[in-house]
Amino acid sequence: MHKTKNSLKEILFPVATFFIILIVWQLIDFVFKIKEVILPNPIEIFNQIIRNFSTLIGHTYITMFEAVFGFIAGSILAILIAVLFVYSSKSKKALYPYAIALKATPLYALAPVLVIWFGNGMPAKIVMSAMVAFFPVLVGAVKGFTAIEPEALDLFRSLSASELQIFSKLRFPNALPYILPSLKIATTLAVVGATIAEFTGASRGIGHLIVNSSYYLETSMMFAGIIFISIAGVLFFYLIEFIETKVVFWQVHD
Amino acid sequence: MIQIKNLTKDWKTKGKNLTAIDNIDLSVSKGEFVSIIGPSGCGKTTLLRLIAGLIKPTSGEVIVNEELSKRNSIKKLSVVFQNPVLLPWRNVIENVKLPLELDNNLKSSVKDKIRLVGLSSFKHYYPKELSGGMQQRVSLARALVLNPELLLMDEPFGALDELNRNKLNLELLKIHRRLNPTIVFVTHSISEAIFLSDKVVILSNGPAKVKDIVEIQLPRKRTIELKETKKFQDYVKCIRQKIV
Repeated sequence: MHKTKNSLKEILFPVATFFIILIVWQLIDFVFKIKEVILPNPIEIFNQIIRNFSTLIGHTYITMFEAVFGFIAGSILAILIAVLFVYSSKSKKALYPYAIALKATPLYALAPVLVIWFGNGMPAKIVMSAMVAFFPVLVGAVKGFTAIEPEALDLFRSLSASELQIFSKLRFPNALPYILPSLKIATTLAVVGATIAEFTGASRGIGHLIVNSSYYLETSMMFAGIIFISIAGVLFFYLIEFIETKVVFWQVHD
Repeated sequence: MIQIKNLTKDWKTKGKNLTAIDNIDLSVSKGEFVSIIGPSGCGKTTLLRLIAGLIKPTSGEVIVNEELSKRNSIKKLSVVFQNPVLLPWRNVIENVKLPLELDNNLKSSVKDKIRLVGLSSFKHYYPKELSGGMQQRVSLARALVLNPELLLMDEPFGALDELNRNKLNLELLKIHRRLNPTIVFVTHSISEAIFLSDKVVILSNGPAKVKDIVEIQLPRKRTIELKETKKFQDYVKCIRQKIV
């Protein structure tokens, strides 16, 4: 009883905030008569969404397609390289410092270069998404594969387990609570990566739509695009979070 | 069962040699319950890891069941660690089953072993749903699932409160009577060592040497009341004096 009351509040409060912001926004717009080109009001954005709903959905689909593919490719590659690092300390020593350094650099700056290399189509965007998704997953996976209780290794060795068994029954499941949070970070980065890559040269996708609308000063369309890609990004994030709660069921959540 | 001859283990730290185990000789016969006792950090765990074959001696040898060189003898040995080391993604049954999964040739009844440690009604629970004492019971069941001839225990009940420790001591004795494995039990509790063992090996502070071996001549079937008897107290006094 008490719990349902609380969870109701947890939904009610943010929803209330959302509508208050919209109303204040609309009021400011009404009082100061801000031009639509500078800042469209919520009603104008809403109308824009209604008029161009299928266009927006189409562009969002393209961007999310690139982001999801980049995310999958980047994460799989990251996990494979993490496995390499676990079994070859030389390659880890040689490469891992660069991985950590690259994680902190704005890889997005490479987007125009990728357009030169891979052209105007989807591959450049998928590569961009994969690159930015790669590093957090690599760091998470390396941590997970190596963060093992020494006694657990002793246990497996005392049972004369093979390296393959140690990996499949100990290292891999042990790494999941580290990998899944890094995948959640990677979802956000992959969507940003795809959108930014579209800014630099594309004929489809939300990034293209936003840049193109800016040429025609269709600010409300730009906002509509931002809203669509934001919602899609959030849904992507929560999909992985949902998978996390199923896969890493033993981890205590607060 | 176990023959330890001139066993020495050095650790190399920062270019220096640190002797952890210094020329230990010890023999344990089949079915015997032997406790190893000594001050913290004296090398008890190192000795146990050497017997388990988890680390290699610097010199000397450990012969288990006179066939150490044969790989299959290792299967007859189980270790119970200080921590329960349960896999959090596996429930009780799955945790106890682990040793059997690692070697498909082995067959044993998982449910019997879970019953033996009194966890039948918890067999679908996950480690985080169990108390510390229950987790250590699961760890014991997992060690027993191989029907080991030799059970190596490294302060398994050290993290438990007095009541749980006593309870598990009694159950360990029951298991020892029923399955009769050879047990080497590391502890720093004098009374636990006396209560459980046929023989208490006292190690000196690092490097570990065998300071003395005390035979415990108390009836094999033991109850908690035994701890209040004069004879038991005399053993405690005797060992305490030797340990310092």
